[in-house]
Amino acid sequence: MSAAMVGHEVRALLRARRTRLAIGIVLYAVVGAPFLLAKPPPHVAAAATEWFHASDPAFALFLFIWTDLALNKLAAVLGVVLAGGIVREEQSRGLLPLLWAKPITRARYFLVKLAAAAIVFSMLLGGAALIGLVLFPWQIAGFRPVPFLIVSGVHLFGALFAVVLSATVAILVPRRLTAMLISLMLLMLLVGSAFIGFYNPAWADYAAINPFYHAVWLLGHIDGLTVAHVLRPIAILLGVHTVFIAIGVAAVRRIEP
Amino acid sequence: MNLRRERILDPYVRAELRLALRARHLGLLLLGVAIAVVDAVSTPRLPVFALDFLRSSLRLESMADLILVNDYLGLYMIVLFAGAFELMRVYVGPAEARELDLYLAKPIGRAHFIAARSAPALLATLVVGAGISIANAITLQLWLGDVALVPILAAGVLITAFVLVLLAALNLAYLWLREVEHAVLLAFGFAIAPLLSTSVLIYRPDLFAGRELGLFSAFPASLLWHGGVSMLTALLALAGALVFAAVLVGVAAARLNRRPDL
Repeated sequence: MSAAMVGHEVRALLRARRTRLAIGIVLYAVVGAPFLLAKPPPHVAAAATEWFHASDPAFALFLFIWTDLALNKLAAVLGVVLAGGIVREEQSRGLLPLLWAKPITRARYFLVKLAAAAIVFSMLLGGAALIGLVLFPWQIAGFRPVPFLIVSGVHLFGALFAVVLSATVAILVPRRLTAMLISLMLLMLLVGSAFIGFYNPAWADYAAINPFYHAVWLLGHIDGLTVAHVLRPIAILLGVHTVFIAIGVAAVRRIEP
Repeated sequence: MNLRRERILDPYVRAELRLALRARHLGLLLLGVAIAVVDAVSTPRLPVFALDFLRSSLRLESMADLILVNDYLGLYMIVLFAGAFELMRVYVGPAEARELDLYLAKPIGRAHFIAARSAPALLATLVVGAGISIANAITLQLWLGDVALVPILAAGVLITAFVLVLLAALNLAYLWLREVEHAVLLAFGFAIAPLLSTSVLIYRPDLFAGRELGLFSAFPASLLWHGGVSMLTALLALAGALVFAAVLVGVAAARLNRRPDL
């Protein structure tokens, strides 16, 4: 039953105008990223070497711009737009008494909505990476598709925190607009400080409380990527997501229709 | 009739204004203070390489400037999103909840409805902007000591004025939207657009070669160049922004008056 419901919710979200607008923003980011890379000044190229210890600073710089300016900013806004109104949207339309009377638990309903938002979010960010995979070999000198896909894939696990956080805050904060504002502010702070552990390695331990740091942690190991490098951030991020989803599930049980 | 209208409208305007400042604004103010403190504490502890990177890419010099550029960015983001979400309560929120017909059926003119709901949002923006500007100045004074306060306050006033202009335009654009999520996407676009120039300054400074005036679009770093902005300029900009916002609220009211479907 749940799989069918998730499928239905995904189709509804894909048809929604907000998703079409989001596709426009995603395309803009994918087209804009290579433009910023065409002629990096010397201090920017030097920064890529210093922070990511990469043998190919130009490619490391590309991955930095791709994850920091394109994917992270997209994640913050898309998470809020896709999941920031979960359950509260139905509540504002007066649908909750009807929904809570159906043979589905509140927790399951929350999880179905969250899963649909996460799937559409993954389609948007994954789609951005796939478009990049087609465009970037023509635009970026020395583009390496395999590390690009691995970095984008691991980043997606981190970026999904935007969906999980927005959904959980939506359940914890009764006013929908206030909840969305809180989520957006928190996410902008988190994406804004995602690279702080690279700027100052002495702060890497503090940076580790930020899920977006784990989403980009791989950039420091781009020369010798191993399976362990990929699995470590994914495992941490899945753990963080589980905790936040559990909080959302506990809180949704207490929402009055 | 006029007298009767006055009696109906005044309490409504007062009621909206009473709702202008809420707990969420105090929260945003505290967030601004927290950012100012964290910036002041952490920026001087960045490695020399990172500080030099900031200096070269944003064309800044002193430690105060390096701290302030992040303070200004934080102020801009907080004030803009505070106002943008507040303004969603003017039209988009009620339109989505199908409450607009109910509101407009009351003996309240559409122009008054728009004005009475927009004004508190813009007022809240001003208060949060002023509060964070003062926090930025005091924090820097406490941590660095010998820092001139007036230029920091002036920059804060100028940023708040700029945000008011963006919000007034956003408020008008919201009239074409019917869902809160669309409004969030649009507000995000409005917030990011003025910062694109800074990305170009960092990664593609070659594009500014021969276009020295264009450099000033690199907001908010450009507010720190050449000794910053004067308080007089900032206050004039704020006055201009308030007039502009009032005009655009009027345009929004006129637009709502022409809507036959409501």
